[in-house]
Order: sequence, then structure tokens, then C-alpha cells
Amino acid sequence: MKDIASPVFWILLYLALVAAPLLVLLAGPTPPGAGRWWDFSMALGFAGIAVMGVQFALTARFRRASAPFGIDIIYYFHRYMAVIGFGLLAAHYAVVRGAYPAALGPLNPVQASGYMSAGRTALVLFGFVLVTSLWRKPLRIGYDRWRVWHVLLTTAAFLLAVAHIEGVGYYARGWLWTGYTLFWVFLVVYVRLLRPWRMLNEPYRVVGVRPERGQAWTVTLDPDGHPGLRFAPGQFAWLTLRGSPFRFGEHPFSISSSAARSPRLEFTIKELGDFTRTIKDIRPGETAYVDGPYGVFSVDRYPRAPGFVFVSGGVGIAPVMGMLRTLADRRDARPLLLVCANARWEDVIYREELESLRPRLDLTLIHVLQEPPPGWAGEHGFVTGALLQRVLPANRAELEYFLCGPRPMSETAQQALHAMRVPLARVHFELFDMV
Amino acid sequence: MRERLARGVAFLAAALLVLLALAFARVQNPAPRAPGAGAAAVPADMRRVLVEAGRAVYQAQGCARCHSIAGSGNPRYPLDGVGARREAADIRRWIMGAGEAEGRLPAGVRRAKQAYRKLPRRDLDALIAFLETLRN
Repeated sequence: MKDIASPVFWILLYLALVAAPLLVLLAGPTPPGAGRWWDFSMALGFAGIAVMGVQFALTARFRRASAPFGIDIIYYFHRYMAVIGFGLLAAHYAVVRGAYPAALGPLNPVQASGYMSAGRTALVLFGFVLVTSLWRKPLRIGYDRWRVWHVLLTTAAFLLAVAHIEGVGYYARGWLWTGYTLFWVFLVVYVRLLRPWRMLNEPYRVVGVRPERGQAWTVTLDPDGHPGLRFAPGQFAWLTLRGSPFRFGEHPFSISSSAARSPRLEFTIKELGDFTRTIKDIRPGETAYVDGPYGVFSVDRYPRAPGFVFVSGGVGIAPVMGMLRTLADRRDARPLLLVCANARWEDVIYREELESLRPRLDLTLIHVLQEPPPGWAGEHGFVTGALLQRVLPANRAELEYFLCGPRPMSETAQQALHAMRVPLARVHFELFDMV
Repeated sequence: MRERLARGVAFLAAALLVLLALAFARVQNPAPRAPGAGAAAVPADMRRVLVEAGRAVYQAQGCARCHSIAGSGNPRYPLDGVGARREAADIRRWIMGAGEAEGRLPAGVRRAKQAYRKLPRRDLDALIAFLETLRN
């Protein structure tokens, strides 16, 4: 019961937060009606800005609120709600533009009154943020720069929108919008100051950086003067290396070490971008900060499962390795199947350790290589439905599946499993790489 | 599976908000309003020039941001018939946020209106003459 109550509570709280301004409008005294389209448009504007007002809370990484869903899905939801919020604001403008054009006054900000210009600017800024977020990669905007501007521009847009509401004046319940603004300010202070400050007091020390196959590096961290964090195998954390937690410098990585051997943490990181290329230069003794754990990609959420299947592609093996190591440390006897896809045999991360885990686990290991070496007798090509059909055991519908790798691999595997009548609820994957 | 839940909640939120907005529009406007009266009649008397100047002031000051005449402008505070409802002196006080208006307007609106005290006397007189012609 508790499993269901908690997500339902958070969903209802979300709906209450975004609907609050409209409920207050409906309940409270309002000026007389001014025409259905007009009042509809005003209500759309309030709805849109309430959605925007709660957007920041969605990405504030509240562990308790995100735990039932997985924080990746919260970001996914944030993205959907951004489009919906902007749609509501655009509709607010469009209705007035269409039905009451004279009420808009002049467009030129020199002639227009300040609050009308504030509203227009807010709409343009929200639109700009939406476009630069949905299409960040095609627009070639760097992730770190994007993040800073995302927060600055949305905060500016939100404040301008509140100024617009206060300027129009007639519907404003001063306390309501002050409340949303204070909520926003509290979140900024919490996310940018309080949490970094807490992280500053719980630093980690780099114990070692070792090379792995496939241009990846494993960073090992020990907590420095505190007990460290308890995590479930397969979870991830935001890692700050070579920088203060007060800067926008953290990146999410899966914990690849055993949860049974905490407090030591290991992260295996592949060289893919600007930040990950610097990992190999990290030296033992350097300070690191960890914000976590997050995520629901874990065997621990399914204690009654009769067995697990892992499908990994490239560095997607990292969280799977965390789960395998933990299961081995716990002497878990359940049957495990790992379909491990890589480009080349030389690039198989943890190749030797996977072999050494076999005697400790009931593990069936299937390597799939895109470019197999001469004489390779194993699977080759991509992970396909036919391959899964061949390797999965008869009780396939009862097992729990963990997919981690490039999106095409993950999607192919999902569709294949669905076709094999594996319930969707048993197929788990993280949605990463969304912006 | 989890994305389905996220999409479901997102669409639920969107539907809830649009429904509440429609409900608000309906509660506020129980019956369709009578169509606005035709264009304001301009009396063909000596004040005609003054009235036309007032109309220009109305446009230049952007009064339609908060008011409407014959359905044009912000419908929240229509000025149709204001000339029949109020005396010239009363209209003057409402424009400038003085007298009775001072107590009844929200703070932000009062401030905006009190800025009109800086309007040239001639413009203000013209504006009032124009508003007085709005009799239905």
C-alpha cells in the first residue's frame, strides 16, 4: 500500500500546486465577468505561469519526492510540462491578440507600459529557453553553458511574468504570487547554496584513477570524515571533480562499485565529452563531491524476482557491474543473464572481471561484438530480437530486465521483449541524455 | 512504463488546467453578454473638435489596455455608457484616481491612474468631452 500511496501523494501535490491559482480565482472574489474569451485567456495565463513556477522544483533533485519515480523520469516530466506551460502562456497571448487586439497596446517598449513589455519579454524568453533546451544539441550549445543560462533566463522570465501579473493588477492576489516567487527563491537558495554547503561539509577524497578498456577510467572515492552514502546497486550520483559544489560543475554517473562494500564509491567513466576527457588527469588525494544516490535502476527494487537479465551497451555496463558485484558480495544464487554489447573485443570494459565473477554467481555471459576479431565464435552484430529470442530462458516473462546503453539498443530490446510477451513493467532503463 | 506515467500525468495536468480555465470563464460569464453597442455617436455640435481630440488622447494614452469601447480593447472595464452614468467632474476624478476612485482602485491601478494627473489640462478636458459622448 505504501508503495502506491507515496507516488500518488506526490502526483496530487503537483496537480494541486499548478492548479492553485485557478482554484483561488474560482473561489475568491473577482471583478465582474468581461467576456468568456477574455476570462478564459486570463485563466490560461495564470495556469501557464503556475506550471512554470513549479518547473524549478521538478529539477531541484529532491530525493524523497523523486525516489518513487526515478529522477530521470522527473526530468522527462519537466520537459513535457515546459511545453505545456509555454503552450498555455502562448494561448493566453493568442486569445487576447485575436479577440481584443486593442487591449495589447503598442508593441514598441518605449511607448508600451512596463508591465505589458514585461509580459511580452517573459513569453519570448520562455520560448527561447524552450527552443534552446529541446534542440540544444542540433544548435551546438555546450551543456555547461546551457545549464547556467537555462537557470538565469527562466528566473528572469518568471520574475517578468509575475511583474506583468502585478502590473495588470485586477486579478492579482498579492500573497499568491508572492508565495510562488518566494517558493522559487527558496528553491534557488536551497539548490545553489544550502545543498552545496552540505556537500562541502561531506567531501570525498580521490583514492585512485585506473584505466579500463574502451577509453574509460574508474575513479575511486572514499568519504573524508563522514560515513558516506548508502545506495542501492545500479543507482547514480552527481559527481563534482576539481571544483567547488557552488559552481555548475557536477555530472551524473552510475556507481559501479558494490553496494555491499560502501562507503567506498567507484565510478567508471568513458571519454565522451569535455568533462569526461579530463578524468584521466585526476590525481589521488584530490577532493570530490557527491550528490546522491538517485535513480530506480536497481535489482533491489525487485527482491522477489526469480532472476535478472541485463542488456548493456558500451559503458552502459557500469551500473550493471555495480549490481553484479553487489549480488556476488551477497552470494545471491539467482540465475543472471548478461548480454554485453560492444564494438570490439579489446573495448569490453571489465572483460576480465566479468570472467572472474562467473564462479561467484549463476551468471550466463553473452558478448555481442559489432566488429568481431577473426575466429570469433560468439554473437556478433547488434542486439536484436532474434538474438534475445535465442538466449532468453523459458521463464522470460517472470524475469526483471535492466537495459543500459545507446538509445537504439535500448529501444530495440524493449520492442523485442514486448513482442515476446514480457510485461513492460518488468523492463527497466534510465532515460538519460535528454538535453 | 515510467514514461507512460509521466506523459499521463502531464496530459492530466494540462487537461485539468484548461478545464479549470474554461470553468472560470463560464462562472464569470453566466450568460452570453449582449453585443456591444455600435460605434460611439459623435454629436454634431460645437464640441465636435474637442471630442475628436479626446478620441486621439484616448488612443495615444493607450486607454484600451484596460478599457474597451464597443468591444474594442480590454473588455474588463468597458466604458460604453460612461457618459450616461457619470458627470464630467466624476469622470475626471476616475481618470486621475482621485476622490471615490482613490479608495476603490487596487494599489497598482491607482498609481497608474494618478500618473494621468500630469496630462496637460487641454488633453484631459478633451478626453472627458470624448468620454461624455459614450452614452449607450
